Amino acid sequence: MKELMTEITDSEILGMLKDPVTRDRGFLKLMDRYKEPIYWHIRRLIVSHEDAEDILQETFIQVYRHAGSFRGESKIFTWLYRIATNECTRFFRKNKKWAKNSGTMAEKMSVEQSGTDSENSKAILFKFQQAILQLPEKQMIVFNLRYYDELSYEDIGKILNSSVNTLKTNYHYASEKIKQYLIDHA
Amino acid sequence: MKVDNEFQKIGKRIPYEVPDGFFEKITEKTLQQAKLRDPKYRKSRILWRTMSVAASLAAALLLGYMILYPDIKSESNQLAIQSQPVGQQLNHKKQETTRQSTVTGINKTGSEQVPENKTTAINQTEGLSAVLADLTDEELQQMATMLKTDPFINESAQ
Repeated sequence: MKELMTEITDSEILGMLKDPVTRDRGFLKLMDRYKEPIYWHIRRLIVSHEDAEDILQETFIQVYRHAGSFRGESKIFTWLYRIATNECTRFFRKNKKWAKNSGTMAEKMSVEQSGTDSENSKAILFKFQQAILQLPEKQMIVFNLRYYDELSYEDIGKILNSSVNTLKTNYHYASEKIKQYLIDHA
Repeated sequence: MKVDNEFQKIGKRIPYEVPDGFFEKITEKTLQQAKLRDPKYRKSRILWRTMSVAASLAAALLLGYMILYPDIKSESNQLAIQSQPVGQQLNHKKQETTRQSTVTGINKTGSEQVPENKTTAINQTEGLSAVLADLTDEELQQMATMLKTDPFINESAQ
């Protein structure tokens, strides 16, 4: 209970980031809170850990540099997701053949060595990721944000600058394509 | 939720892993990177670097100059003396003579040691004889007249 009382809010973190005296402390707090969800968002799109690490760093560096100009009209996490997604999109543009080659992707993927996972479930996880990576860029991003990060369509709309209806359509098409891929590769 | 039901069998697990301690290290690492790329920090770093390079360069030049021209100090003193008015030059010569006499006194050891007053007196007599030797008869005559007529010189003599 005490922890909950003392837990700092996003707007307080933003206030710290804007103040030169508390800037670094605010930055550390922000990273501690969002580094993992942002990392996994990037990693799901980019696949390679090294590239995901670079993009994660770039995302937070952008935040550090531009926190002063952030007006706080949107939530801080949607801002973070937006920067991260833009960085990923930039990465796609630079590496057009990225991960489309399933052989390269298979090398990059490493199935978790959990004892509870059967060979079959590992194969399903692997196939599911491959199905997501076959999607067009926007559908893939929408699907990940909705399915894994469980963000609302309103928040996704702020991240991608899209309407809710467009996003719902994108998600629907993405789900259908994934299902079809899983059937085709069963 | 419809989202969950569609792919219930698969769930939300991901077949990727991260190196051990990655999330612990990444925060500090990113902060360092952010600081390095911060324009304000970079500006001050560039300024300090430029200043330190300029200071090192100036020190190196000065050192090199001093090594190449070790006599520059005495030469510059000489030049300064030459550029001074004649009266000041004489004063300087006087000072030099006194300094030399002091050095002579220090250098003399054991039996050769002479009292300082005596040495100065000898030097002064020698200097005066040299000056008198250089004077013409007319100049000597003038000096003698001046000594007789000048009340202050006579007063001090008394």
